[in-house]
Amino acid sequence: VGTNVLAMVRMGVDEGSFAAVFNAHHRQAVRLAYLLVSDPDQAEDVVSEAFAKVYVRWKKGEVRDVGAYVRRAVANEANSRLRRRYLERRVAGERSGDDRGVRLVDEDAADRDAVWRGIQGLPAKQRAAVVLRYYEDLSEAETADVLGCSVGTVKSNTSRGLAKLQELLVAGGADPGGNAGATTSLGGGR
Amino acid sequence: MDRVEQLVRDSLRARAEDVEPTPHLYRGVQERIARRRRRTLAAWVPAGAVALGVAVAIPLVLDARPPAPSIEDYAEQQLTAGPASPTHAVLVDRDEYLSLLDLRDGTVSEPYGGSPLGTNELPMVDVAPSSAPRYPSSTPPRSVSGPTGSR
Repeated sequence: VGTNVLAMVRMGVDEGSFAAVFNAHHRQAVRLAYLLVSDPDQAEDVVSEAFAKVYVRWKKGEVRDVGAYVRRAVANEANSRLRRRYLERRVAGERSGDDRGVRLVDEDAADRDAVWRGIQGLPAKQRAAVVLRYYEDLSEAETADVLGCSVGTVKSNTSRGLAKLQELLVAGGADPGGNAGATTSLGGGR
Repeated sequence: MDRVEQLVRDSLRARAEDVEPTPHLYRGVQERIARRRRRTLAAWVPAGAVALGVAVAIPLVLDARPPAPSIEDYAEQQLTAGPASPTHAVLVDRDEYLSLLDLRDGTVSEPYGGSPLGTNELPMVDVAPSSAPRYPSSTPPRSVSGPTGSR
């Protein structure tokens, strides 16, 4: 009986501590997951799964940097889901992309919206590399560590992703009103 | 490319800021943790059942085998079995003729009969414990010095 009580107390302490860990990292994790999967519900699903995986390792004391571990778990989980639902994501990417209530108040907002649509259309690996490099501000080596690939692969995926986004913007995706000046300035030094 | 990079950065941040996790997210995590525990337990139960079955079956299988012979059985066999090797005399082949080697003094008898081995009938030799061999009267033995002596 004593052993059971101790186990229950320990489990309660573990889960209490893990709740603190969760509170410290879950918001950033959900945002990263959303940028990777484009869907808020699916993003929360990804984060729940990632934290459940983190908990197992965390309880064993195998996680030193919880933030990095959560980021890696989210990226892996999102990637695996994206691979399974690639066609659905393509369809979602072709929609307007303003389902989060964003309003186009100026040219920059229009550009950002166009970029977001372009990011949604990127292949999963390019998208993950772009998001980790430009949202999480990770270095190429850190991104490679999270994605489990080489630095060279990160460089090429990031470069190809940016090139596609630039093509998309130059082709007029950033200018819903047909303003040629806005699209032209995207490739140069505006 | 700098402009595109900046646009990407701004776009991603703007999108991310719109996202707020729902309050019940941690409950979802707890449910997944509990589900993982159950799944782990469910994976161990069959393995434990197999291990238990093997642990129970091994003694039963061992008991079902015929009993191993005991030392008393061997002792009984030694008492009832005859000697494994001759103690008095053996028949030997001397240049294709049959002779008798007396094991106690090493003498070899004259070959019996005039035909090579295999064409004659075996002579009747009476050998009893603690006695010299008695040969048929028609062919009295002629001792030679050892098994390699000449006929």
